Amino acid sequence: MLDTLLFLVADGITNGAVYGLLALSLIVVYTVTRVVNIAQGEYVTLGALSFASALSGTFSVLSAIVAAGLAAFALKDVADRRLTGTMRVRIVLSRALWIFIVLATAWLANLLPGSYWLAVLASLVAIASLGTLIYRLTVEPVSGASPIVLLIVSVGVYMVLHGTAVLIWGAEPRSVPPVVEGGVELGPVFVTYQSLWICASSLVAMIALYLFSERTLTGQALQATAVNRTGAQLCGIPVGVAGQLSFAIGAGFSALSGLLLAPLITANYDMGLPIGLKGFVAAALGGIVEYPTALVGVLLVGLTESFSAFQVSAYRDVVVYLMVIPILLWRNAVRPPETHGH
Amino acid sequence: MRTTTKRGFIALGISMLLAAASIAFLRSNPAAAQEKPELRIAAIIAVTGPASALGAPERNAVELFDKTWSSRTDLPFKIKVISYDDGSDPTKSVSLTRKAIEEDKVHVVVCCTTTPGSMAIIDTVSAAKVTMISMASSLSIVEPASARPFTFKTPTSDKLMIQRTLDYMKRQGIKKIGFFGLDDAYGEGGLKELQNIVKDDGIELAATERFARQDTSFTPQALRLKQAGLDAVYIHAIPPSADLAHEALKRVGYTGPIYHGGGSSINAFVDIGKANVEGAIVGVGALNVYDQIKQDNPLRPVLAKFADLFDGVYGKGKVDLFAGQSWDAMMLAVNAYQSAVASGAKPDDLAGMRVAIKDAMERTKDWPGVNGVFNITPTDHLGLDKRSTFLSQIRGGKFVLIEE
Amino acid sequence: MSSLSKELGSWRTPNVASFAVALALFAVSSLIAMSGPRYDVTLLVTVGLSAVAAMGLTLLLIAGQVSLGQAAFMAVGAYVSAILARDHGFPAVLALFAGVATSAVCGAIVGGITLRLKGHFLPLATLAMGMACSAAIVAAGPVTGGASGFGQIPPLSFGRFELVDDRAFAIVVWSIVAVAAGGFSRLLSTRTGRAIAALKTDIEMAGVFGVNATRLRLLVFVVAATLAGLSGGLYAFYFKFISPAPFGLTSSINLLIACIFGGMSHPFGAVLGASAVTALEMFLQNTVARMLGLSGNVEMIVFGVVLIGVLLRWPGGIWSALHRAWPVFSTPRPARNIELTPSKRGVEGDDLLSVRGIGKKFGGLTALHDVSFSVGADQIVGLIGPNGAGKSTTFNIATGLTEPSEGRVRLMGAPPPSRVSDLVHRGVSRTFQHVRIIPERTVLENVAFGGYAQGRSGMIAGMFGLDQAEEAATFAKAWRALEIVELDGLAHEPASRLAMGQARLVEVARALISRPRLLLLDEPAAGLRTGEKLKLVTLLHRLKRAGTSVLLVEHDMDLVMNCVDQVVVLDRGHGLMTGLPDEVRRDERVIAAYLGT
Repeated sequence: MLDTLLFLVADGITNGAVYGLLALSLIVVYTVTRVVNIAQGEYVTLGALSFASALSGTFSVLSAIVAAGLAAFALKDVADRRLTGTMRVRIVLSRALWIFIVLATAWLANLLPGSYWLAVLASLVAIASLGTLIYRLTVEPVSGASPIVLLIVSVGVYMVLHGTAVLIWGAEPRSVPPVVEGGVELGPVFVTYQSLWICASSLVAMIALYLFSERTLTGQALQATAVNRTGAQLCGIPVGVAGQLSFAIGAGFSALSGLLLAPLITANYDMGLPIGLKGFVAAALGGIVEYPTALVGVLLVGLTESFSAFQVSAYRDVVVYLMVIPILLWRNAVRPPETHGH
Repeated sequence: MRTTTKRGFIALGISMLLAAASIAFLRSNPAAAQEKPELRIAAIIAVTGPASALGAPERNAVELFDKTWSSRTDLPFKIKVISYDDGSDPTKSVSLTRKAIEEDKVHVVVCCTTTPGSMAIIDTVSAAKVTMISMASSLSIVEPASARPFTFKTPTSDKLMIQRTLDYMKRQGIKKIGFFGLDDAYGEGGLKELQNIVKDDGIELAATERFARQDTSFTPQALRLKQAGLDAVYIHAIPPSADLAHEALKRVGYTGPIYHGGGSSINAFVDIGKANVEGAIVGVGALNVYDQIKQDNPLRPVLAKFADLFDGVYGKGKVDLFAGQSWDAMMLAVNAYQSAVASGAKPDDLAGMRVAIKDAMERTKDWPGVNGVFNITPTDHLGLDKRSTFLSQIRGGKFVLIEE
Repeated sequence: MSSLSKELGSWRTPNVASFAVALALFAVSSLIAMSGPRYDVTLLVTVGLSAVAAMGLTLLLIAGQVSLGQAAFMAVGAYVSAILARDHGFPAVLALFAGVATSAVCGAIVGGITLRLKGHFLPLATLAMGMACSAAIVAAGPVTGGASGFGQIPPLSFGRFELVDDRAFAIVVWSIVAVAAGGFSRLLSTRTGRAIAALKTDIEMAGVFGVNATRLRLLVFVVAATLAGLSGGLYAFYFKFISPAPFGLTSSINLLIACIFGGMSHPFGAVLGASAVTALEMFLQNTVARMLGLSGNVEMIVFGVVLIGVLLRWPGGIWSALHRAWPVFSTPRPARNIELTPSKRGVEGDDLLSVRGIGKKFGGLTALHDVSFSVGADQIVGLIGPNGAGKSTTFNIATGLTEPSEGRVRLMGAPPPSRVSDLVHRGVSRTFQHVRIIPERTVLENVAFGGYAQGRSGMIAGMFGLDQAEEAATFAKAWRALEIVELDGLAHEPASRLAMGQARLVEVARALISRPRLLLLDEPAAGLRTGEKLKLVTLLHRLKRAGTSVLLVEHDMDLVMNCVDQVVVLDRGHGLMTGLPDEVRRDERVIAAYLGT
């Protein structure tokens, strides 16, 4: 009996940690840009797949696409007539460096197949940069639109990313080795090292994000943008950069969760959506704005999934989704989420 | 006029132009009269959507067919293949089927990848009297044949495969089994068949656990199965979830034999599972073990030819079950067309030709396909028997034939 | 701008527009249904069914709510109809009716539970409910056929006539689309429609004018569910095979896409969106897939790009782009004028409003302490004080929007109403510190909304034109109110284009239309230019002469001193003094409070 309980709790916590990284991504993106990013799950998929490519030594087409996009935007920014000469030089240099990093990490990973950490780096750099591109292309131009329009735009982004993923990598699942093979016996339960890595990363990410938001100036600038965009601009905060940064962090976290998860369930084109959905549920339980509550939310979702899969596996989805409603009602009464004027 | 009103009219004008353009595009050219009669086949496959793992290889085989057969000039007829993507949505399957029948004027509809899609178009093809060949798993698509006069299918039914597997289990002395399968139409079909068959075989189905294709964890269900004290577990899924379910069982400490259904008989199963799936007993089609079956088996040359052809275009070892299913469908259609023409049907008479093809399908005898030897009759629209099923075991990362 | 109001003929009313478009929809669709190729007719039916469900969703969006579970209600309608018709021998029409009714009931239950959720919790709850529904259908395999589907559904038959012909079915579906589209379009320009728009703008404001927000929201939710159920039931009888696949999350999102793509502010947008999405898909199928030979994934990418592109350019959807070409349809000025005299409710001579010793604590902060004053008949009272003195809190307590921690409030002789929507019935009306008018509607409609409490026509009357007399009366009053504040020239302007000062006056007009005996104005002069302020003073005097009392919160000393009979001064939550304007102006304590010595 106790064995079973331990197994299920371990399982639930691991599940929760997976959703946790995704919930964090959703929260970061939402708080700064007010976009409920339906496409967030796709960064998980892209992260896992480009990681698989990098490991096996093929040059990721995605890195090339991202580099091209960055170059295009660099050209556009440099052509701005309002800039002085020195500013232009600065832009050119900084963008060149950025593009160089994206391409260099991909090329190095290509050169040294099997190098785990290089592949991680290449993948994270590419996907985080992709996040900034998506922000500049699809969010910045309509930042004044109503939230529902932003949501549908993110659905459009989901379609583009999903189609691209299948186009580049096909429909076959790819297996990926874990960080460290094997696991550890915690009593009767065998926990893989990979699961421990996932939990640890989730926790570290949460703490890092908290410290960043509360303790650093950049983090607080991000928060300021979230509260009042115009006010932040008047204080000299570049809100466009804030948006890009939030998308980069969000995309990066999601990609991280993808490449950590891939060894457990293989990297395949369809892995993003269910994770994105459950991550959204977990994040929304925290009102999509609070990190600590999101932690509770993800654990709740993970544990419920685990236990209901054990008891009534055919009905487990029904249980998980129905459970959401009383929790929402309770949270709504105790601490309602913020509502926005129009 | 106010500028905004003018812009509004321009917008209106452009949208009307676009609408007119799309309507113009929607009209496909009617099939012009050719010197050689033309066989038109529509292939409606789920290339996108949840079933695309099956649809993509099916589409590859169709494209291969198109390349190799449509370019041939030695035939007394031409072949035109029209491909559509129904996105795993039965609603789209229906409307695309209607489009193929009415606008493209096809003789045969090869559809669909999934069971719900195939079921959805049955009424349409029966009303239009057009032959349909499905690539989905459930036997209820073609049974009873009297209610589904124009419906055929190529994949071996779960019933045959499970029957075979259970026979083998009985001979091993297995009395109590558990079912560990997908919660979608494929898994449902397998469970239903299993429940029917165990009644006659004297084996007890003591536990049933389900999972979804994209689940991240299978441990709770595996735990439940382990605790049920089973002699064997039967997994009915497709990779990657079939592999993950298998691994989960081992991880929770289950040590008994693990059997797999036909969904696992593809290369991805061993590619993903690697050492973890060693010893799994998998019900396979002939394609996985074609180089191990007896030389005098009529399937062997057909398989070798198809495997070489497919691997030649798409890469060594890429050929798999799903590609074979659509290949068989296309080839069956060609075979039926030739048989219909030979029996005197007039190619110019579209309606008559369609019915003649259906009649010809029902006369298919001892036809060696990739999935097995087809013997289609008016009461059996699948036409496969035990000879299309094989049992293999994973040894050294390969499918090794253990029973033919 | 103002030339528009002179050009409108009396036929250019919203009724005519709605009817005309509905007729056009029906005509075009019937044409395609009768003469188009059979495949197009199938598409027509599919688009029509989507349009019906999408219209329900658009109505929800207009009310300011998002549902991610609309397809689940379609599933309820489809499965209940199908199961009853096939397995329980119900006649098809009865089964359809039962399916729709079940959807409506489910809508009422789900709505009742979830509509009190705020912010993102509501879409999340509808999402969860939708997923649970899909999973439940699969899990209940023996009854519903599970994931493999449910087939052999008998056709829809009326007596002995079976509706199996595609073309006839298409005409039936599009009649429903036309009636619904025309009806909802008309609804939006009537009493209930204005209330629905107000729900989205500001629930509190809507309540002040008599809208029972909870009930109206629930009604809209149930209507959306009913439409979805109807769409699902018809789907079942048309395709004769259903499975969970067409009713999952993807379909709910597709419906939402259709609504936003087409334009979420109007039911025609839903029809436009459903058609445009299908047309785009077909176009991409033909060009990308067939002509270019590229795989289905490229179609998905292009679709996504088009969706993003259109929304980036026109966030309001296709409808907003077309709308600019749309001629203005609005209610013209009536021939005769009516007077807006305050109804003589309440007891003569007694105080209309009296507050005695009220206090308010927010946690540890004491916002108000021992404040007392009263407003009698035919009086203008001014409430002044430095920032943070507690003026707005006092206002909210007086109108019952906030509960006082201590003290006694009497509004028209009774305690303030527990339901904000009862304020108007007492003859009390108010404006707000931050202007709360419906930006998407015209000035005239905004003012007309003020008359909500006096009206009675509901959704059915609004959809089918049974409320002509009441609407005419309401608009006559609205015109009169606009004349009183001298803004009748702007009647047909969208309210979002107003300058601040004009918007405030529109708020006053809106408050006047319910003929209040007591009018509470929260900083009406903020943002007004000098000339406008003078007009405001004249207006207030006129109102007083006509029998309306006014309680005024203001910062502008000159304005207050010029028009009020009595001044109440607050400072840091305490009542500093009450007296005539001249007394207050010279009082040392008041001067000290303002200058901070």
